[in-house]
Amino acid sequence: MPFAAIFVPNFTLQAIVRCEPELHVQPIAVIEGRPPTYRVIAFNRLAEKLGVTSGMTKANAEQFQEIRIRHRSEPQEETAHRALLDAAWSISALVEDAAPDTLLLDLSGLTRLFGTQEEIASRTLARASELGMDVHVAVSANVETARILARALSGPTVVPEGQESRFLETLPVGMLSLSQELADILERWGVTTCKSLASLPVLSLSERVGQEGVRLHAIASGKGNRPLLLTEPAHHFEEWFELEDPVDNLEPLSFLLGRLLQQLCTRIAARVLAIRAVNVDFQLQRSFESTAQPAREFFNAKSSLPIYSCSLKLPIPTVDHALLLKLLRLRLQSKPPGAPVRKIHMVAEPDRARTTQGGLFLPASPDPQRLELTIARVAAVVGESNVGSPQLLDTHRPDSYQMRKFSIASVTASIQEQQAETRSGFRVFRPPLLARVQLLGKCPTRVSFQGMPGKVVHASGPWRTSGDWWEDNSWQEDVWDLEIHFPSESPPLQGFYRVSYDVRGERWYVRGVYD
Amino acid sequence: MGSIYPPIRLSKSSNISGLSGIGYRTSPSRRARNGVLGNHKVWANLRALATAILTDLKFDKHKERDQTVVGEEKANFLRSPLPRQTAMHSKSAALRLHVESVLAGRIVSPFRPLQIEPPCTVPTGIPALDEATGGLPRGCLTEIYGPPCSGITSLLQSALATRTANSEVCALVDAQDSFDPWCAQSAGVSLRQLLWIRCKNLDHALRSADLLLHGGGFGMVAMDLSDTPARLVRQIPLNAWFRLRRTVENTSTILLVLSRESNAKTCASLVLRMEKEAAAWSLRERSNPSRMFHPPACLFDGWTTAVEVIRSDARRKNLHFFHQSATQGNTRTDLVRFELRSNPLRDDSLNDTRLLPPRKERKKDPG
Repeated sequence: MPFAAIFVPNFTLQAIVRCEPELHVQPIAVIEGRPPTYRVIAFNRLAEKLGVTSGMTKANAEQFQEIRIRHRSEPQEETAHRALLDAAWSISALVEDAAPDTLLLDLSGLTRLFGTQEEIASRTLARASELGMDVHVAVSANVETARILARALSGPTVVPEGQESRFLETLPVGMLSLSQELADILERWGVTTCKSLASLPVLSLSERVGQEGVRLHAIASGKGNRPLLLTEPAHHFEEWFELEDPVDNLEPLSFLLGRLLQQLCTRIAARVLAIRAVNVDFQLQRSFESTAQPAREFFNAKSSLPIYSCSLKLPIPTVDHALLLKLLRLRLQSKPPGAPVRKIHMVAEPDRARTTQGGLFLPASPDPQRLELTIARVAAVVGESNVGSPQLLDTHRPDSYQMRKFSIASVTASIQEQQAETRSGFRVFRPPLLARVQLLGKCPTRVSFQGMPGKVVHASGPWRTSGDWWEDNSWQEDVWDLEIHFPSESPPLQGFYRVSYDVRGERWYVRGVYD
Repeated sequence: MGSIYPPIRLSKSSNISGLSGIGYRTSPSRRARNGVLGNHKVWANLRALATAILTDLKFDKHKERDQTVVGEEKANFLRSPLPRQTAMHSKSAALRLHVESVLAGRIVSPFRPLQIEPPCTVPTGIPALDEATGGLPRGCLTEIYGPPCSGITSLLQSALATRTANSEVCALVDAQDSFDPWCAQSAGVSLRQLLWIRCKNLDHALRSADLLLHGGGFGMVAMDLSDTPARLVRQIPLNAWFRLRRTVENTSTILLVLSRESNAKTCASLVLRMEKEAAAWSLRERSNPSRMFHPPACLFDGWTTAVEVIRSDARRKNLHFFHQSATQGNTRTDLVRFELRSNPLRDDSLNDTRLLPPRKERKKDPG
């Protein structure tokens, strides 16, 4: 039963570099601590060449030229850990979350899916690399050997069955994650490598250091096996990004959003899912913060920042990060956040990927993703509330409808029968035009609106409608259909208008025209 | 035998439409959709290229001969056109063969004039109008105009109902937010398949229509400019109409423009002018006495409208069709009349029209 171990070296640093790939080629140091006493806790090889050491103060680290300083970000570490879990779940469903930087996988039965163990190791490495992390992968017949070798050796390592002890023999006993007390005992005995530990008699070791010694002996011999403590696959996809300097321009902001979306899409695609909705929370900078720089960190620690939320709901789930970025950009262009952005928190709602087969003889319809982009672009021009599909309301109130989001998914492919006769159209005046009406008896004879006096040629009505009398916004109208002649217009105009008398407001309105 | 001309280097990745230089803008997706063979501009470019090469060859040939012959011999040569024409003919034939061999496998018969197929047409839902016009052409701009109450909205709703009944997705760019969804649904429009864009001004309408056409995939895109002041619609530059026409060209979308006056000019493949004629009023008792289903003002029955075909590209090419299918009752083949009904719950008395009844009769009406 083969097992694989994934280990992320320098996890704190990689969690940050994952969101900023350009830092791969720059010296970078990660600091942690309270404001006056920041200390370097992680750094990359380029920073090490410059002379950066662990525990160095921020002031000392900043003296090196070209070094980039980043604060440790626990949300980013959590996100990186979840991304690592997604990469593992894309390989195997049986995963143990051993540590934030270490995962253990059960590879039983996967050779039929992915090929040999070497191919599985390479695939795991590539999947983690897609998510922006440089990891070590080791495959072995037992869990502990795989875990130790993943921490010790870089790249993919595959241990043939029965040769575990040969791979472990040169490793120091410190790799076995033993307690400090036991480490001191072994050091006094002169046991420094796994080979020397494995050569000790088990019975004597048990008499001296107890069961812990027996367990370590088995691990050092390459025989330490145990069942995995499985983790339930989670469907929570989120990304964090904390900016060192606030961003107040859409271009750099969209650059960052593109990275986060790409990460989310890669993670979700690895799980054979798609994104149904994206919610983005922007933590904004306060308006006075730019002029009060010294107090910024104090306020950050003491109180929360204002948040601007933006959400995208897609009719068709997708993993096209370019499309999502365009939609998000259009949304931000139409409704920009009112202040510079300091933190970005992006959450994606997963859904099953769309699998449909188009009909061969059905008429062509817009591509759903392209349509979504087109609607977003049009909405940026005319406003989001002015684009959609009309939905009639279950009421007799005049001109009662609501706009709903247009979706190609709601369009049912069915050939309907056409009506036999042609209906007359009607054009609505929104809002209705205020009119002055002269009555003869109870029948309108002259109507004037928009400065056009007209004579009623034909009239029919009144048609009384009312409703919602039990609510505040009740309505009661007498509706007339009038054929009105406007002799003052050039050329003289004659048309069919719908005129209503608002009984409650005691006013006449022109509702629309038949056309 | 090898070719006597230097080879024309035209790699597979070459952008053929780029030969003409500036003045022809299409997106890569559009080019891919059209295909190389369907792009008449490519053919024009190739022909221009071949003509230019021929001209250069002719010039070089004359130059060589002028250097060798002198005096009377030269005059005789210039006076005798037959040998020169024969040489040019052989040269051009060789060049033609050469170009064809270079483009073999990619372009079939590059020197044959492109035959533009007539656009596919779809019915408007009004049989009399379909018979006269052949229907609404796909991939073309159709303009319908007329004064208020002329029936252009009715025609729009009928066309939308026909397209949505065929499971097509339609879009309506409403320049002045005057679309009535209740009326449209009673006319048979499937509102689920209708993307309604409520604009605030003309600029929004034009930009929205342009975006929709570029998005592609719609069965019909209608731009309703009827309530926009005519002086503003008149100010739309002609290149905007050309742009719309070019965008909708070679697609299966019908671009319908409704306005009070004709503005698209030659950009429109089909132009219809509508005008109101006699109205019909009645106060008949109804078979369904329930007021619940009666729309307001159900006593207005409708009216007759006349449609005149002002311009039709299909008509120019198919004159025989119009001679054969003259609408009954119409003396002119380009004039069509049909009735518009306002009452969705009408009984079978469609032809029974009445004018305004006496006041006593109106008072008896429970409405």
